[in-house]
Amino acid sequence: MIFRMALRNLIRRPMQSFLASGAVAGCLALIIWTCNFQDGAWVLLMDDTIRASAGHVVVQADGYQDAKDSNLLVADSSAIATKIRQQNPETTVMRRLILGGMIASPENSVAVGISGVEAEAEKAVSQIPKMMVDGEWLEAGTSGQVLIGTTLAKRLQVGLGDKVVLTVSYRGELQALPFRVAGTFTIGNASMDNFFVLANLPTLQEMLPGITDPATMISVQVEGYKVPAGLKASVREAVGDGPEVLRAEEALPELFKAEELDKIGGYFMWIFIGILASIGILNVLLMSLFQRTRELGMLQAMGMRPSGLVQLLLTEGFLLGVFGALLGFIAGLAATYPMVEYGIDYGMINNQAPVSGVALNTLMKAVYSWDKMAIWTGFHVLLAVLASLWPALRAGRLEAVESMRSQ
Amino acid sequence: MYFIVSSLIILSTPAPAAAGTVPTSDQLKALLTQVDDNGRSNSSHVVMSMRVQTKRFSRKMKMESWSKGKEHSLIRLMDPPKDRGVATLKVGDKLWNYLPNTDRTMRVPSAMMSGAWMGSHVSNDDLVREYRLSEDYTYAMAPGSASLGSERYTIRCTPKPETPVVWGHIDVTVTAKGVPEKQEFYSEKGKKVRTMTYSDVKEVSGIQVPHKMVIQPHDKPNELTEMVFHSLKLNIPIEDSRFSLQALRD
Repeated sequence: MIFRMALRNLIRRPMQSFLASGAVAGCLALIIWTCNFQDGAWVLLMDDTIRASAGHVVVQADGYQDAKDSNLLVADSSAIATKIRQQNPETTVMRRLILGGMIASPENSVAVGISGVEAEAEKAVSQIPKMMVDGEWLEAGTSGQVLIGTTLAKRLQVGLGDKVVLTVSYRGELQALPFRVAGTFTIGNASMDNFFVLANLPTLQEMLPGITDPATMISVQVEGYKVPAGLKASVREAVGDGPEVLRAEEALPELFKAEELDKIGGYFMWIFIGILASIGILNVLLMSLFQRTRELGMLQAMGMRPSGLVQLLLTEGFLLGVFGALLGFIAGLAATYPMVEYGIDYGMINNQAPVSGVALNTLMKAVYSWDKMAIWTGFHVLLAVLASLWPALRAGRLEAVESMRSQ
Repeated sequence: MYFIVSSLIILSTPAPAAAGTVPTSDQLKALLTQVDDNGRSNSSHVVMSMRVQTKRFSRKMKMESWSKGKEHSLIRLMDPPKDRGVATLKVGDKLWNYLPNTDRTMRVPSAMMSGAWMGSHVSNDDLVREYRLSEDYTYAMAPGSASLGSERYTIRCTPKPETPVVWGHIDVTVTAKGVPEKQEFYSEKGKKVRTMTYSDVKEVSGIQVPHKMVIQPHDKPNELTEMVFHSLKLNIPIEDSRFSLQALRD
């Protein structure tokens, strides 16, 4: 009975009802869209960063995480990687050697960061192969190839096939080798395009005297970006004592902190937007209460108890919330769809990556976060009911006689 | 330091080829070996000035340098007064700079090897690189060398594939007596990148030594670095302690 009365009351004032539920719908649609996009962006960002700069679990020389000293290397890295593979056959294991140094051409010389990588394994996880402008990705088994950013190539005034000399320092000893430019890439990040040099791991290893088969890190990777429970312990068992074994959260704390802060910031913003929507409902119901005082007095005279009036107004708020949430949910999904299918290329703001030294896919796509969409939809219905609480309580305190006199 | 000092101190030993003849490959090797070895096995003390002209600034410095063999050298600025005491020490392939204003000694890391030494057209990397023309390069008479006559030759030195140098080739012009006159550095594309010109040859301790060297980068035609020796002593006894971190600060 009350439900039908509430529904009829809302239909009787279509413009007011539409505006109130429209406010809820608009806010919810905005929240769903941004929430899905934020989640999609972070999935991509986390996945790219974890794969390119560490691993789901990473093995490094003891003390490297704190010191980031390029002299701290894991020796006999190939043997360790093999043990990890044998113990965890479902994982991908790859090695990287990261050194500071200098690259020189006849025209110029520039300080750079040099990554020695296993060509095939790295190609599967790195975004750089998709960002090649000239030439080809590194060829496994060949020596003397480097890939450099287009900005760096411009500074050195070199192109495909040109000779450059890499100089690195290990334990105070300078080592230099000639290389040929096998390709250039554009990541879209000014500092990386001017700083990042890639070479085959074995060639770079030859430049370091006095250490056998060195690597800066042995990266253990799985599908997705969530680190499986037990993977770290399993890797530790395979590696034994000595090197440090870290989960991605420990190896890349700044990345996970940035995700947490961004999401907390998002929650505050969305709650604020939800409150704005509920103020719309509060306004509509209060206006409705003032306009219908005589009508409500009539209902009391006909025997409706104050609690009935409270229930009536609360039900109206609930219906406005449900209707608005439904509309907002559909609109949010509709707005999310092109973001899931086509995404947004944010190459222009790629410099904002929270972890430096990582080539990120600049095409950000949204994901359908169904659990969060359900929570936010329910939250908006709840806000609508809460917003109708005050008008409902006021309606419950109306005196029938006084209300009947109201114009 | 080796780059600066020993590029100038090319000791004049008997010429490998008699005047009027075209040197054979062996004679070219002997000539380049002389260029490689001469000066490296000797000690020296030099007072010199360096003038750096760039499009942004012009700078003149006076400095004192000690060297011993190819491994050790120390350069200390004497003038201008604000830079007095600034010093560079090279031991092997390691390089340190000392800045008296902050009283700090800094080891030059590999990433900073590309930096210009004292603002000149010589990089830190140039100071420590040591490759032998007679061993790390292949060599032959450069095209057109015959037109120079029989008193001087231009030898084209092309780095071997494994030699970590950036040049496509270097044309070294030397007199028949082994005194260098010019080195022209080319990229692999044949573009002339840098020229070093030697002049003002004087005899010191019976050795012909160019006392002036000009480095001219060709991509910056109005820029140059000029080094002039004011006094030079060769084959003098120098203690190894001269090339220590302590001596760098003295």
